[in-house]
Amino acid sequence: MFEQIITGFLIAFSPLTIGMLILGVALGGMFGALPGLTATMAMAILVPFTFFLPTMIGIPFLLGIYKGGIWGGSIPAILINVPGTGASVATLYDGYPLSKQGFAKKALLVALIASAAGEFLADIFVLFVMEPLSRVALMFGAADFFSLILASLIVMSTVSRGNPIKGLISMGFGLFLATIGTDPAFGLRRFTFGSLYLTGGFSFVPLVIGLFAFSEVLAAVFNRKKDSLSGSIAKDKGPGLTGKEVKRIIPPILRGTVVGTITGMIPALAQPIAAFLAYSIEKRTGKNRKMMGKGAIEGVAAPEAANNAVNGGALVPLLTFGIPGDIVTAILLGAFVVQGLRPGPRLMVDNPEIMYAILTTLVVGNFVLLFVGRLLIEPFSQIVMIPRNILLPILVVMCFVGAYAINNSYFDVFTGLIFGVIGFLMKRYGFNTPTMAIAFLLGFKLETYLVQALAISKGDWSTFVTRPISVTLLVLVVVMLFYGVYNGLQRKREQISDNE
Amino acid sequence: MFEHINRNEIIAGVGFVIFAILGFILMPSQIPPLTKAWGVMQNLPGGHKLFPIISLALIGICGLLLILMEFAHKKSVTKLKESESKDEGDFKAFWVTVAAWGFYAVGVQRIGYLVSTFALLLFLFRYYGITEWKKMIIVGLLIVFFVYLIFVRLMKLPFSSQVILF
Repeated sequence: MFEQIITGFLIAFSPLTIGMLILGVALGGMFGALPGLTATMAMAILVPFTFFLPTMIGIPFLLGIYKGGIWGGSIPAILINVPGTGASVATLYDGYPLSKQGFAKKALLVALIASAAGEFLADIFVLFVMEPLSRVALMFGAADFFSLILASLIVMSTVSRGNPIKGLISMGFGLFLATIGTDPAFGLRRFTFGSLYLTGGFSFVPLVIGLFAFSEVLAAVFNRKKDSLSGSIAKDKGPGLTGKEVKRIIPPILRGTVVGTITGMIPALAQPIAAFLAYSIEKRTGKNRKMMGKGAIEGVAAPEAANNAVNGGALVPLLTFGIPGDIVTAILLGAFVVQGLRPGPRLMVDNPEIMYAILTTLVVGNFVLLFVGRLLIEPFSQIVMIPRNILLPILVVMCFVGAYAINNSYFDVFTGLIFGVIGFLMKRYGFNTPTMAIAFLLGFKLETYLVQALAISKGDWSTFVTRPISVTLLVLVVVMLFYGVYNGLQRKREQISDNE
Repeated sequence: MFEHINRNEIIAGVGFVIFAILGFILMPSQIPPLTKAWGVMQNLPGGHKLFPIISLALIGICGLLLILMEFAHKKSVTKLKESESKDEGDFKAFWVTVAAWGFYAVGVQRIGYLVSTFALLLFLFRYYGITEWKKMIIVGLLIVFFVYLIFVRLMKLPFSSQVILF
């Protein structure tokens, strides 16, 4: 294993790989810094670039975007009290007060250090945990994978924010969309309406560009009369960090990292949840808890460490089982597949050098984040105020070109448009678009594993309840379904009593 | 009697129920019958229709649950946030943006990538409220150049010769 890590380091340290990491972090940070743009949007729009690049150039680029995008959201949160991404909402509570007190630079530096450190520690964990976990994953059979994917989807549908019933509808919708095209068992066409374009089903990347990038453009256009960026950025951002303050933020970074890494490993529990959890733990147990909410640097360090540590944790189920925990890792999964890598238990066995190269790129990427972030804090602080009416048309062009570039097809452009409208409507009515997209991505696999499991068991359905891993996961499915419906009804009752 | 119902929930629920029903109606014509299932595939109930049936049933049942939950709690969520209840949003701008995408797709094929992109940018800049023509033209040209340079020249993305007429 150590030889493979060293080989991975050597591959990861090539100038081109580092260059693409730097570019990725810068672009991701820019998207994160602009309110209304997200790391997901950056990934969706920029992923088509990577399909024409070699693996160790394209994947580091995406990983850089992932890191930079989550960190970048802290900049507007601190400077103008507007979170750049959902992951940075918890950073507002202490980041903005610090900024108002004249300590914006201090807050920005804390956010950067916490992001890089939190993710570094999570990535080290992933690096050492990957191989043993992959060996566990190799024990999974088709029935176990079927149950695992089903359990992940049900957990995502019922645990994510919002009404669990709507989560289940989103999941069902995604699964249905996955059935369009050719079925995995018999090779027959389903719901293609005679169209050759639909024989292979909808393409994942144009769908994601529509759902997560173009739909955001449409939402911004729809709400533009209501939304306005308030506040101004003080020219003098105050002093930087002292050595004593760096020492003070170490415990919250460590706590935030643990919370973020564990949260990242559970499907559907994404950055915002980790950030809030880390913040509330810090508020209850931190040394400086009396100052929390009034401008405590610990209140910036904890959520920022957590939301970046999620990135590392989320790669564990993705790389070992091929199951993305959120939409960003789902996009990564799509990119891996196009690059000829199949995330799952065989990945470590079939491509160990590439795997370790990617993992060490993850680790190296945190130093890149620290370096690039330090250089770009100042320019990104200005970018925050770019008017939306300049950004939005540019995004329309980027979405269009990104959707077209995958298969050189206007059908994909049409897909991007349709799913842009669908994504807008789903969000407006409170449905869960990440669950839908992940169900779409995993639907074909789910059906394939079902068919394989039945083929192996010679048509015996009891294989799903006699295999210990499978039966445990199916029990979880049943529990989560009941929990989801019960929770949905409870929330409804609470909403009613709140209004009364 | 129903003035306290959250209309959005009902619309969403009804929409998905209709979607599920339509799916079931279209299924016989859109999924060819399985003339011969071999070996263990005979044990797959519904054959290749199993997953579409399950997903449509899930959508339909949950859509119905949404509607029923709303009617069951008659004193439902009555006070939506002001901005939501008034449903204020720029529908015109929304549809103009959707249409602009469509026209852009046509323009790229008929006129060419560079001119269409520039025209789209100018139109949207103007429509979204930018009034300074100099700014619009400079930014528009920069973006067209940047996207052409990055996507076509550097990344060598395979835009067809029809797309670029320059």
